[in-house]
Amino acid sequence: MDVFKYIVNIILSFLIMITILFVIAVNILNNNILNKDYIKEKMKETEFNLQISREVQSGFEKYIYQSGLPLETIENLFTQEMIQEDVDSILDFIYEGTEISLSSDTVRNNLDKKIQDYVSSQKINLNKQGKNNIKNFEDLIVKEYNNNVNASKNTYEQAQSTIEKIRNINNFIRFLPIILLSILIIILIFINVTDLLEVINFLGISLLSAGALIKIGISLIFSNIDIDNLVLISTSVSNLLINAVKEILYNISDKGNIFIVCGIVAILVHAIIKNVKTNK
Amino acid sequence: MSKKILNIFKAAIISLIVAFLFVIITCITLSKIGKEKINTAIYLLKVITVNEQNIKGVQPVLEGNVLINYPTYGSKYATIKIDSIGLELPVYYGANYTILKSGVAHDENSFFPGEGGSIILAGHNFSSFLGDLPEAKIGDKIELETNYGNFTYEIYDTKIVKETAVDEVPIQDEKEILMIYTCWPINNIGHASERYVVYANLLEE
Repeated sequence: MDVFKYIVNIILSFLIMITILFVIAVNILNNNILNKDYIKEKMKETEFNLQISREVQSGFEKYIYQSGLPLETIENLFTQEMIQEDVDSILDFIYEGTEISLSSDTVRNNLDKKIQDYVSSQKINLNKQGKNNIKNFEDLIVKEYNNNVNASKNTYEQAQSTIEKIRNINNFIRFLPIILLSILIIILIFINVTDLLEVINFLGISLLSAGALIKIGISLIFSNIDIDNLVLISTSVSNLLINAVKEILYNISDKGNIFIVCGIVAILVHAIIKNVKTNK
Repeated sequence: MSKKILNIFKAAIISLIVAFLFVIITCITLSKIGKEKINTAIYLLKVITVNEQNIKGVQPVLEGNVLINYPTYGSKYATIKIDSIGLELPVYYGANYTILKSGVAHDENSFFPGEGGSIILAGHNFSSFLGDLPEAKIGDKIELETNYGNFTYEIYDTKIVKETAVDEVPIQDEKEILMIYTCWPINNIGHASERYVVYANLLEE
């Protein structure tokens, strides 16, 4: 093989390696980050709604002990279905930009009924101040519900705007890496049409180097960032984030392993067949 | 046979070297172009990472006005006693809603007994907690038995203040003042927007 052809093959092989990495990045973007169903699945795995329920209930306890009301007052103010609907509403807001609608009114009505029942059963005569204190208590409980379910309005708004931007860019580049990869492979085949064995060799080099880069990148991430202890907004959101990030990284790492094995096999196949041909 | 293997190895090693060079070139390029951005991303991710360490409490020691080895957050380090109203409760370092369920909470922004500043304690207004605090009178003694010494205080004032009136429980380091507060009114239904505060001077250490 002449030197010029060899250099062109090396450049093509390098470009194929870069394109493979882009294909993986775009794949993650579409299958994980921009995929609402994937996030929903992760939420189910991490018992996101149950965790939110616990956080809401724990938030209610902040106010009950100083309220003079029995602990039962803050029990069963909401259901898992209500949490599910509210979480879905937030997801719809992040992914589709629809308005967030929370079950705050239902929580307030349930709480008000319980307080009125308690006041009647205890035959308590409420003066203006007492009625005002109950209203303030209800406001705090509803606020606590909203704050825990819709943990960080600002962060969700930022997430919504970021996802919209990524989606707009993604619409343009979605198929670009795959098209580019196909074109590069076709050019590689075209250049080596007389010796297709070289195509296997240079594809092997691309796969091996892409796999090695992935493994180096993943190792650097795991050695520099303590993923298991990431904390963002609340325990439920942190658990979701940790679970999703780890799964994505392990998936990429598995792809890296496959690329390394395929690359080495391709290089060896090329070397063995070439040796057999030379001996003939 | 060995020559064949050597030739295969030779052909393969060239390709492996090329692949290795690709990796090196990409790593160097990335570190040159995106070093700052990568470092910023790692830094930001480290900021939102919490390392949970098992911090074992060490016995606090009071040397003059300086407390060495503060109690661990959330640990019980004292008992508060007001004999005149039959009150005896554990005191925990830190003020959060979990601690408030267990006993009297010591505001972590205030001083410790013996340090010569404001000591701020808070508790719920149930009868089993600080519900009887308003029955304590000016002149009554308050004892704080800590795990590094005992302190006696005398009540010199009581006040009912708004929940937002932080000026009524000021942090200062000129004089040792014990301030204990609970929600007011005691038999309130709903959100208690006022606090009952007891102020006491240090009598003896």
